[in-house]
Amino acid sequence: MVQYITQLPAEILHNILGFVEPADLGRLLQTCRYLYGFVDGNSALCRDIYYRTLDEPASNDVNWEQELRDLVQLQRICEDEDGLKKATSLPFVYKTVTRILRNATKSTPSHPRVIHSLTYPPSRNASILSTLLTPSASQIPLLTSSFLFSRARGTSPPTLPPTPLPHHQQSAHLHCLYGSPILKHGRTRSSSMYPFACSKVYDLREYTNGSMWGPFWNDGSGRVDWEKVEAVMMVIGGNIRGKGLEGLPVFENFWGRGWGGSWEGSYVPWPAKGEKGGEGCGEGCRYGAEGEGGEEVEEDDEEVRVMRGLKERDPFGVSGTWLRVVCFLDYNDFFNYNFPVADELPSNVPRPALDVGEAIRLILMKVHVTSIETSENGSPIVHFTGFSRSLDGSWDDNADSDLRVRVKGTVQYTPEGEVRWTSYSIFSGEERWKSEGVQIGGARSARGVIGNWFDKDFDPHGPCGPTAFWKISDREARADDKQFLLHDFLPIVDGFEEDFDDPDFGAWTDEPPTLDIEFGFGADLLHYPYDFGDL
Amino acid sequence: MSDTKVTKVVLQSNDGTTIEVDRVVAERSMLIKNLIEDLGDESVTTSAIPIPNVNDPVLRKVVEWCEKHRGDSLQSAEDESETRKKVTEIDEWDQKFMQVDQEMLFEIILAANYLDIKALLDVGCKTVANMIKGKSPEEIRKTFNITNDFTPEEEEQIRRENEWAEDR
Repeated sequence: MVQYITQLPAEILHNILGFVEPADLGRLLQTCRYLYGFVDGNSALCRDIYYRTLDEPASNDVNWEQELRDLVQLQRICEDEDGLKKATSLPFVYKTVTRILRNATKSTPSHPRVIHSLTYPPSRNASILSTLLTPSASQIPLLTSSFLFSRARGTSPPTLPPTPLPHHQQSAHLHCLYGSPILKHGRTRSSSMYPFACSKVYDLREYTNGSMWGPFWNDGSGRVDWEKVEAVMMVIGGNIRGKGLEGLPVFENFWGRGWGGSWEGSYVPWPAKGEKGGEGCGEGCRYGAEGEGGEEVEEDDEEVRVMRGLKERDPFGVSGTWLRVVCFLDYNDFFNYNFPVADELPSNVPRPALDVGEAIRLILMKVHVTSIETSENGSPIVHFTGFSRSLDGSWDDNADSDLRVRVKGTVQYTPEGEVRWTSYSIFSGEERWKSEGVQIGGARSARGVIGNWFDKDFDPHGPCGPTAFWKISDREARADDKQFLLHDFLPIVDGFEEDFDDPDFGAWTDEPPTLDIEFGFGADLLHYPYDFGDL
Repeated sequence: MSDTKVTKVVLQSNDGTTIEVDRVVAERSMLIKNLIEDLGDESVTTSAIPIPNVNDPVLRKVVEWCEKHRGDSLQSAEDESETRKKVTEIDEWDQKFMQVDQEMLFEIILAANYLDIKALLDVGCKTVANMIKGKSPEEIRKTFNITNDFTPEEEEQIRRENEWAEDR
């Protein structure tokens, strides 16, 4: 008869211990020699527990034991208020969180998109991070330790460090991956971060040749300056909330949810290849998803074949329809802020907090890959082109061609392996606005790209501002595709019906949105002096 | 065949006692199911199926569990890997069922393993795992009657190596 747990066959003991929590392992092996010998270095057991606790990683090249230890340590740190305050916590948390996200579930063809607007798969890694790191709890120091936050709190000298400091960068990067901007630095009403974020984003001095006017270090290294990305995210997040857009699934999934899709490969195509996708794809659905519909066959000419080939080789998943947000200041405000009379501000002192109100534009961007070249170091540079259209104003199929703008650009890796997007808006054949951005989480992340827009000739008088875009579907532009169709909107408007039934969803009950999607913009924005209706 | 009428089979424990059960109940055990398939219906209706590794009290316990879960759908290999990933919850009836002394618990687990009753094996293992969870090394020792056979020096060293698992 078996009387003691230690007498059980190894296979059974393994089975039992496969159900304990990671932290239990470290205590089990302190009980006696036998269990020490059984648990210590038992990577098969650690793998089983890992699989029960976290997402299946894409690669099996994982130190299961170390991963579990780090997860436990992360839990300990996050549960312990004093631990959170320790300066030593941040580097560990940073390293561990970024790794957990890197190992999060990649989208697979076998799990197509269920809800149109939700473009990333469910992930245990992300949900564990959501329970461990939420800004409502005491973990706030981890996500809000960038220079911007300490400046707002008055806890650091008011001068910028000559180069970004590691702990500022790590905290800002974590905040960006967290993705739902934290817009307060304290509990009071006056602790709004938005004016501070604006002061960084609209400070022209941040836009230098060294930084390529984008969210990069000023030293020409091409390294991502996460504090710049963070500030942009906060400004755009503030506008999304300010306009009451955060309740819409297509925004909420990214701007209102912790760790929403901010990992590499999280984007779930829609409609999925080979799937009977595009449900509701009725009349007017002229451009179905690839692999479906008769039209594909008719159009299966050289051009389509070339495009498909490029798409398959594109590591960044560029082709498709993207929803883009652009914010901007009234140019007078912008100018007065950057060029005040008798400006004696030292270059290492940030400009004052800025809260004059911005305009926001929502834009649909349909792009496809045109070529893929290989850079000197062997990494791919993907070129794309397409067109964009502002969602503001009237929406009818007479397709006022003035509202469409050509766009083109490139996607490539930075020296650190982040994904850098460069794009141009072209008016009457001439490039006008340029943007530089970084894809949060890496290639094909559903969270999308955050960065800056500016004059393509780097006009020293500006303007410049924040922008973000994320992919909503795989419907892409064709050479002869002049229109946005009803179908392009489905990923945006889906969930409306569901949300109407949701008693918690109150934002639209009085005035249901229509396909005209005005998003509450006033006429003043439509006549904005920048001509931005065309961006 | 088996869907025409409920047939009975007789199981014989290693004490020599026999238990008559519905065939569907016995077939929760993949071992018995395969055995019946191999031997053919006739032979099992005429003679008892010997279960040489399981004694009478344990076999009765196992049969009780199988009776209760007779209607459960059998997990496919794929489902199984999915459910195993899930949290280690045990339904209420099973929790009560598993409130037995440790020796019996281990015997049920071993019987479930031998008889190849995956769901029962999991319930048993989860029950033991729940007795471990969240406990300090000393509490685990107490629960399972484990003798601490480390020297004080070893114990101290292992404790230090595993501080990551300590509640701070």
